[in-house]
Amino acid sequence: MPEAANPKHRPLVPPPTSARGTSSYSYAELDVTTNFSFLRGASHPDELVYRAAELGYTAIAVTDINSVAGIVRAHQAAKEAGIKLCVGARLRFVDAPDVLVWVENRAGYASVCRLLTTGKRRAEKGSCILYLQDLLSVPTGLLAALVCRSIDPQIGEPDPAAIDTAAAALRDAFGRGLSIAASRVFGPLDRMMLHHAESVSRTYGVPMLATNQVHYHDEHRQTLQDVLTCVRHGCTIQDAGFRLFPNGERFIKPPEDMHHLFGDLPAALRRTVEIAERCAFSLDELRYEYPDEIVPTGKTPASYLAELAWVGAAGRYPQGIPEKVRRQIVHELTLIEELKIEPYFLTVFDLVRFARSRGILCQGRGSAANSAVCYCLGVTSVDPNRIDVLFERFVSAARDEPPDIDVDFEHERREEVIQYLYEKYGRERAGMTAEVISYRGRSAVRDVGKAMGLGLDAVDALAKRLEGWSSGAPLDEQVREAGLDPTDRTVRLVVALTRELLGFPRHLSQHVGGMVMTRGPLCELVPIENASMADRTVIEWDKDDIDAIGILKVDVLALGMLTALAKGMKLINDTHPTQPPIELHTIPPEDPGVYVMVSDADTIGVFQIESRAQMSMLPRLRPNKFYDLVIEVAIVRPGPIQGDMVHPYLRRRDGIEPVSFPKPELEAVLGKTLGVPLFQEQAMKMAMVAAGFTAGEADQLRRAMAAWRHAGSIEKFQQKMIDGMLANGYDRDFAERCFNQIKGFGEYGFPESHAASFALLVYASAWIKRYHPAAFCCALLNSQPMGFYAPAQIVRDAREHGVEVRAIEVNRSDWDCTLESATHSAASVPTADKRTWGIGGPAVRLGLRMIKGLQAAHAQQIVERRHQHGPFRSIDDFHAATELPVSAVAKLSEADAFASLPKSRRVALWETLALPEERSPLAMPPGESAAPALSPMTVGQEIHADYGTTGLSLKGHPVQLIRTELTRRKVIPAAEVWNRPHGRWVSVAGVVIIRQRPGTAKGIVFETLEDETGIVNLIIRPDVYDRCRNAARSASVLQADGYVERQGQVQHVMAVRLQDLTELVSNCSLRSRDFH
Amino acid sequence: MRHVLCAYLRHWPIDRLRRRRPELRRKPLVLTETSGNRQTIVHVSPETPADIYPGMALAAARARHTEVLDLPATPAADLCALEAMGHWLMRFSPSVCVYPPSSLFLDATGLKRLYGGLENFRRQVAQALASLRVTAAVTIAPTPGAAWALAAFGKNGSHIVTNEQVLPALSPLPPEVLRLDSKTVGVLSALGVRTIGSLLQLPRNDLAVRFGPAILMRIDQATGAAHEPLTYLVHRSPIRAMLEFEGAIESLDAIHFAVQELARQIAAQLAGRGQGARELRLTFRQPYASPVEKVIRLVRPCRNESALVKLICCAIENLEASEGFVAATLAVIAAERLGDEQAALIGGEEERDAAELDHLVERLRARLDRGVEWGELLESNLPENASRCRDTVAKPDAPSARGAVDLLRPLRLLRQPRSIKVMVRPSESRDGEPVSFTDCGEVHRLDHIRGPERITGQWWNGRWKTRDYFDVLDAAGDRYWIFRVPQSGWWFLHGIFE
Repeated sequence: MPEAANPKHRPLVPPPTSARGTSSYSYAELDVTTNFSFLRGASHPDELVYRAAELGYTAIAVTDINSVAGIVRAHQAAKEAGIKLCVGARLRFVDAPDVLVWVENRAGYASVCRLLTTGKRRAEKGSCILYLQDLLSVPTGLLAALVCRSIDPQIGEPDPAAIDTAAAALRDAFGRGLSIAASRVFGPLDRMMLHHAESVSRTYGVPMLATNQVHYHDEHRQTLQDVLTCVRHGCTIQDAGFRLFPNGERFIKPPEDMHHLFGDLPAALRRTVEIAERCAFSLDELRYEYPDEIVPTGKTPASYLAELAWVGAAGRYPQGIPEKVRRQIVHELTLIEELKIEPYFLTVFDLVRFARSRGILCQGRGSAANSAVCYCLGVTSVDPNRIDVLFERFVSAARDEPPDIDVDFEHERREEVIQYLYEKYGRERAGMTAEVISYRGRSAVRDVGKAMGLGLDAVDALAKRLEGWSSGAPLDEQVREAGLDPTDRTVRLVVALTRELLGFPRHLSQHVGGMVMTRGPLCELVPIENASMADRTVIEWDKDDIDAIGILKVDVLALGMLTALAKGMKLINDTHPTQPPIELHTIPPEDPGVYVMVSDADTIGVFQIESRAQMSMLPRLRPNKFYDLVIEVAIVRPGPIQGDMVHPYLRRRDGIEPVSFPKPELEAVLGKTLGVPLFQEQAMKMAMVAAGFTAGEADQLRRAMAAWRHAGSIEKFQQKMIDGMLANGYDRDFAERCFNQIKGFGEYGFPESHAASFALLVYASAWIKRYHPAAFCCALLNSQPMGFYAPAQIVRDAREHGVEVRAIEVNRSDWDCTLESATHSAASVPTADKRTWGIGGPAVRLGLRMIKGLQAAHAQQIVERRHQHGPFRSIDDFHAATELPVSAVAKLSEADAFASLPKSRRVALWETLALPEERSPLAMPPGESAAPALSPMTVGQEIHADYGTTGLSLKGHPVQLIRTELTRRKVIPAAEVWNRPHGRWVSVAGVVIIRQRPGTAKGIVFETLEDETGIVNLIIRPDVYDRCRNAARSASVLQADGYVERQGQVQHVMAVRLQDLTELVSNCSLRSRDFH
Repeated sequence: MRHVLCAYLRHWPIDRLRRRRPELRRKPLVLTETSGNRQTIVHVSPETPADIYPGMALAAARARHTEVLDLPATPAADLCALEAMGHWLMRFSPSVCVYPPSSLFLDATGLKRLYGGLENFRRQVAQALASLRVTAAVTIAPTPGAAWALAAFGKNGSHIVTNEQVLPALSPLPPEVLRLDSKTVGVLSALGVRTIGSLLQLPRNDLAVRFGPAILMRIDQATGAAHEPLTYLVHRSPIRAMLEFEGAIESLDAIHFAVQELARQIAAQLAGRGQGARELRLTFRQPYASPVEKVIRLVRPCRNESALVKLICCAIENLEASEGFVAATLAVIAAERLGDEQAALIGGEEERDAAELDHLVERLRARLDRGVEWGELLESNLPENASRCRDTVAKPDAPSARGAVDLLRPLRLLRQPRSIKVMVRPSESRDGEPVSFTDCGEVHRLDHIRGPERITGQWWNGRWKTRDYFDVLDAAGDRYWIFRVPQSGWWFLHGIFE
């Protein structure tokens, strides 16, 4: 399968610069299948358009099968190439031959979109069910042509009788707008089908139309088209047989060739030009209009927004609005009014208001999100008093497009928000943005390899060589590594075809959260189809298409941390009913204790800064104010790392290096970050200020970076940027670093505004961790899966902070983890020792949700019955009261949830097995039979079983079981590593809790080991990784030997040798299990 | 007292494969099962590194060790071969039971004296298997259950003779040796019951309540408290019939009579086994010369007497024997399962037609003594690849592909396209239309042409050349199929319409 994430828009290829041929023959190609007819067309829409322009065509159509997904790209290319694009589609009917339609005007476009929407909403995702009657009822603004040659060779040509019937019906509906399309594609039936078309033409008085059934722009793509056909049918090229076109004639032919082919039918050629002329519609006519609902009647958007802003401001600042903020609001409102983007803010506000009314935590981010207005509207909680906001930077007056605000919601409740939008605007007016899933190296080589008949294993091996996001075709070396011969003909073809297939769209998926709302029916703007998820509908265009057309999109995103924060704050507010409730914006700001904790990298579970890379940066950066967190979030990203900007920043911050600017004009751009560009918008701004890019070019540059199909376009920008900077007097090294940074931003752009929004969540989660560690642990456990760490690490971290964690227990646990009052309430004295932070606070009771495979409904049943029935007295009593299936009771016994009855695991299981599956009310309670002599479990077995059933153990750590063996092997505990000097040879061992291979680290792998005393971070260089590949990749318990590397507060072990100890631990915990 | 020998063939699928393919010996080898896109390892050879184990994905194993060979597992063939192995082992004991997937039981009761002690018996079986290069653990015990447990999990070569020895021998072994289902084994392990010894300490009633009666049955079968019946293989002699004549016979009538008699006997034997013949060998012994042999292969299994007679008669039509025959033997070389009803009796018209055709083919083969072939249409745009001939014995399993017939192809295609000279109009034009062509010195003036039909070569096989086919009618009224290779401008004659 193609990788689902991040199929960035392929950059448009610049139009060929060679002199464009002008042809004296006039012909327009009106039957063009692009690669948006997935696995059929073998050229991108822009390739087709540029090729047509090059050959002297004045017009070309795009007619994908039941789709207009590719027309935005074709439209952009056509504008650039100066050629006319006829918007159209090939309609495929259940009950009739194919019909080509082209759009005459806006009304016609609306009817095509509506028609396709009807067909798609009838069918499941990705398909469309249309009947000829659907078309006959909407002929306004459309031109149509009945197709009498099939484009599916294996199906065969359409039945002549069906053509006659359809021609009669269509002629009545379309009148003079109908044609009959005929093609000469050098097939055996050419003459016969042409005769038939002529006879239909005469009988019904319908003019003939010449087409070439174009599937690719250049004849060389025939091979790729054949391969795509194989992928579509799931066969190999050797077995494809009649599924392939017999020849490669379906390319864009020079007009003179078409004239040669249709020399005897000049009218059919003239008809193409005539139709192209009648297609007056251009996508430029589509105007986006904001929905009306967002403004109450009697108010203008401007007055309503201003009203909301000032009311909101009064609420945010009960002590009076600070002068600085007041001025900021006035300023922003003026600017918003100037750009007429009030409805956008109101749309976002509407969402946020809804979420708030349901108690769903949300937080805006994106270019305009951190404005004072957004703070007042409640879209964000970043107080404009806390951060310097330069609104103009986010809302550019030059770019005539709405600002970008993404709103994150609690991940468990985002669907409510999406459904609210569907309900509010209706399915006809709201839809999710599509995401075009494109071929990447791995998926491309897989499909091509299979189609070319390479063995499954060879394909697999080759695909595996293309790690992760690899965006290229396999290199000779990788081919050899996969055990194939790079000089073999088939292998060479696979490599070449893979290269061509890269970037081809494969199918449409839904965007992570982009929602589109319109004033008129959305289905007249773009077809809407069902998503694979229930209750979701998706439009055909992706976010770049929408940008190009200028349609409003709001990103409704899901964020796990918001769920955790919401749950955490609720727990805190519930346990402190007398105190004012904690909310995102009322969390005490700039608390020094929080910054001390963060600077110590004591951040397991904290949003964003819990990753290994972030944790090793924290002690160096030592954040002590909010803006430091903003930088912390942004600095550990591919952009600054690839641009080599991290160390200069740290040196300047530590005062080792003076703060200077390459040129004074950059001070305005880089002032806040000590002269080092860290944020995406800084890099873009530099391209403008230092290299003389226009705002549009800078944006194009960013997009080109994000995609990767044609390396050529990137190099052109690189040349331009570096030349520009050199010309303005910058030195080459700096220029190159800046460019590399932009390259890094391409895939994972991270602007300051996002960083600021995230930093707020960083601060909020850190604050909860610092002052309410039990609630923090509880909330994280209840929001799983999320974040970097597994429950075992979260629980361990909580216990290290003095939080008491209690085991799962049928008489106490709920589904969720809960807080219970502490047994002994030592006065909570603020102390610097982190081990005391949780003492005196509540204890965490693990919930039934921790038990793997236990259903939530069963847990609810337990909790409910416990309320009615009181504490359970025995397993039989439990079973009688809860009426759970025996298998569920067995899960509970295996998870040791009956420990307080008191029944040990094995005894509980033994008793569970005897429970009847069906209870009859008359049955006598079984007499307590004496428990048989089951051998008690060792601690090792207990720990092993705990991990097996709940993923963590409160009784001990698996590594402690083999400590004697480890000591014999001269392995030291993790906590001991701190006492060893830099450079000392040590051996450590532990459970592998994190494995990471960042793309920016040049093949270095980071792993983190955990033993009963703490964690150790390993750095594994590629040579070590290769040498100990199996252990490094798959061991769950690992021994590493290497050198201590210490830099300030940050320490690692530089591994030299790795050993897999997994067997040792599992043997040990099952010590009594000795066979033979 | 009962004694059962168990041969547990630890690496049976691999050993079997290596017996057929000696080049695989001593190489790390795994057998895999494919489901969907996933290949899972089901057997590993002893030479395979320890970190590759059954149940693992082949891809994962490949990532660890690239040198490991892999082949698909063939459980059905393994079982067949196990049965054959069982038949072979009948030389040691008349009662052999096949216990899939990889064990065999031999009843050793009463054999003690014959072999001079049970240990001798055990050793002989073990050595026989070893000489066949089959890895086997061979044990003897009073019950099949105990014998299997010791063979699969115990020390190799151990054998116990008395009932009293069974329990102590089994006690230290894990419960899975009792042939329990994996769920029961898992629960027992969770309960800490790791040996049969501790399992037997649990109250029997409690066990039955918790695990069902099967567990008690397995325990009793192992200890001998319950009898476990075994189903033994039945000895099968080859199907053959023989007639010896008093003096040489020469007359056709006599031979026909002999054939009828042989066919009757064979048909009766086949009916008794529920089988039909696929291959027959007919042998006539001559007085002063070596025997004459004729092998007859059938398209579908058959035991119909009259059909067999007809077929044999066809086959012996051209048999030469100056001295006459003194004996005739008919043997079934290959047989297949055939239901009780004859297909011809109950089948519909289509079925009958198909059977008729098969019989025709069989008779043709028998009579012509040469391979009769099916013509078969294939899916290919390239005319010469659009059909092929195949042996009649292997019937096409899928219905024939949609042929190229509806594409207006000539019925006769030359084996090799023949180069011809063609005049085109406009002359000198690379894509002009043909006016006349010269083939073998004969000039054909063309009245009608249709085309071109363009066919691209199979580029994936390195054939990039295109052909432009023309369907042409010459002045004599003959229709030809000629093509031009645009890349070279050369012309060829490829077919003749009839």
